[in-house]
Amino acid sequence: MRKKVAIIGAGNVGSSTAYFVASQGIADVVLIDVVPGLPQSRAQEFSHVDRLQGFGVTITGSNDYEAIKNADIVVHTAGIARKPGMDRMDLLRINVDIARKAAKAILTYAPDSIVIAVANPLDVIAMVCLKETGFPHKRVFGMAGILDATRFRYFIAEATRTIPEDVFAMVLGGHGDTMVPLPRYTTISGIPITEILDKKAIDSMVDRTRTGGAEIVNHLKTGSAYYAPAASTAKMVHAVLSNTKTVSPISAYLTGEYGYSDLYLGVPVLLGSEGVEKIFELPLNDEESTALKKSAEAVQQGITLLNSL
Amino acid sequence: MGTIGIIGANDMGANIAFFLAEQHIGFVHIFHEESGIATGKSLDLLEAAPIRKYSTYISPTTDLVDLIKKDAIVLALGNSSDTESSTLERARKTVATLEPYLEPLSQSESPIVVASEPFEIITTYLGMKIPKIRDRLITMSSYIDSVRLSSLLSTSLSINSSDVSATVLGHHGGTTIMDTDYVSVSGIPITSLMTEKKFEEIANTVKNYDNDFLQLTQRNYPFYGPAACCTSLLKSIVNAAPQIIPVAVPDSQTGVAVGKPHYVFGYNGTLHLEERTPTLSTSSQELLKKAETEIASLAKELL
Repeated sequence: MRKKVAIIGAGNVGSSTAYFVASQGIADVVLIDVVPGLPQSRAQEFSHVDRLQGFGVTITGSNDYEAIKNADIVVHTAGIARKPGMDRMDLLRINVDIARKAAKAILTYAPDSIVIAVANPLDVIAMVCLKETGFPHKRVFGMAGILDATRFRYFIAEATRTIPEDVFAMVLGGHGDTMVPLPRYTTISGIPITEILDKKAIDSMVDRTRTGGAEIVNHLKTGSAYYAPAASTAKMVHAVLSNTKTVSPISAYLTGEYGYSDLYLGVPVLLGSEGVEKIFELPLNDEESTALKKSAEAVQQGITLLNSL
Repeated sequence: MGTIGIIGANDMGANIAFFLAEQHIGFVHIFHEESGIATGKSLDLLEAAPIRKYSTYISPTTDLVDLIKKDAIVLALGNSSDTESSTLERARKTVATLEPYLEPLSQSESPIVVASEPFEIITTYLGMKIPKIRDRLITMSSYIDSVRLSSLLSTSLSINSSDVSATVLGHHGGTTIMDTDYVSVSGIPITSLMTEKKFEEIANTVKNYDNDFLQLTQRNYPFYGPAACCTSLLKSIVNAAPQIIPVAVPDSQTGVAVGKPHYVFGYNGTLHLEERTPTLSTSSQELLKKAETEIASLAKELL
């Protein structure tokens, strides 16, 4: 029987993730959203695209959480963007509430699934999904580092005029301004970029990576990125469904790794059919450790806010 | 790999760029009047490149003079979220947004794919407005109907959609011709697999699709499916990948663009087209004539 991926939230990130997952041709896709007609219409259109591109899977849409029944993977993208006049707490309260409802439905209808949190604030939403489902933590994780890394990879490829897929990059920490891109663990065809680019150029790309999401918002003014976030999410789905044993930075629950516990933080993991199968602990220098500490503190602030709700 | 210039980076234009990158069809340049949109969407797409292994680039441009020299130009103006207007009102709005591009387009010698709704009406209008580009105008209108018909038939029959072959003629959103003689599943006539009544039911769903879709979403017309059809057409035009597909091009005599099957082939900025309309029944011929009349009368309202 073909695998099933449920995507909660049929906005641009959710819909684009549905496309990318369907295009892999390995799982049926169901899109869920509370807005009547939205997930159904997106699913219909992707079925037409399937006629041209030959995915060979079914894509459906529903307003009912029951449609996620027996999903192998549930991707949670539902949430609102911060609006003018809304403070961080307001945003957190709304998106946490949405995530709690989704997590309860996941527990009811897809109790054996793996959950990928995508909605922001990512590291906090992943924690909500973990606590509400009660799943083992290797089955609940977040999409963050992989997106930050793909942005870092693209900037390096652009600067060095190399093929983007030849660049590998590592980004640790929370998904936000405090993320920690690691040039020492970033290579082009195995060659560290510190051998290829000067410090000034690297620092500039590190800064650009940290503000990568905001850069696109500044361009679009009334929207945010969705193609790269969706591609990153779909890569994680593929890693789990096909048991690819991919090594990639994601937001994982830590139990002492890097000196942190009971916290979601971007770290390199081995991603396979069981979810997070291993966390790699990279040796960090003082500067990197300090940056990671600062990032962990920022994530912890979010968790503290969560606990105060 | 060829080069493609897209004018308009809303839902339709951005997703054409997206599908072009996904399928490694060509190098993409995007122009959008409102500052920031083309830059933001190009950057978002390119940041997916390391994961999706794109072998192309997508770049924003403000240089229309350069853009019109690409191997193919796509007009993706208009807004899928405009749900209040009638067909003629939508056409008038599209024509208004096209105005600044008429002069540059008149200087172009490349194939021009019209991905601005209403497709055949805008294609016909442009051919009449700028006769020198008429032979290079093309739109994927009936191709969209054909894909939708194939998709719905495959769902109804529970078979793989790539096994369904369907050719729809006529006016997308108006009078369309869906003749069972030109619909088959792996070569098996559709009438061997489904009753005429069931086929008619599905054909009617295709005819009313855009309006039913709007009823469903309450927010926008379809754009993913049309963008995928446009991308498939562009593959034929810029990558020398010939296909026989139903497209609309201005007729050499009447100037009216109505959907008919064509052999489509292009390379290095050239476009080769041969009409391959099969023998039609008398009733289908009458419907095709009706479709032409509809398109012609609406296009003339725009001149």
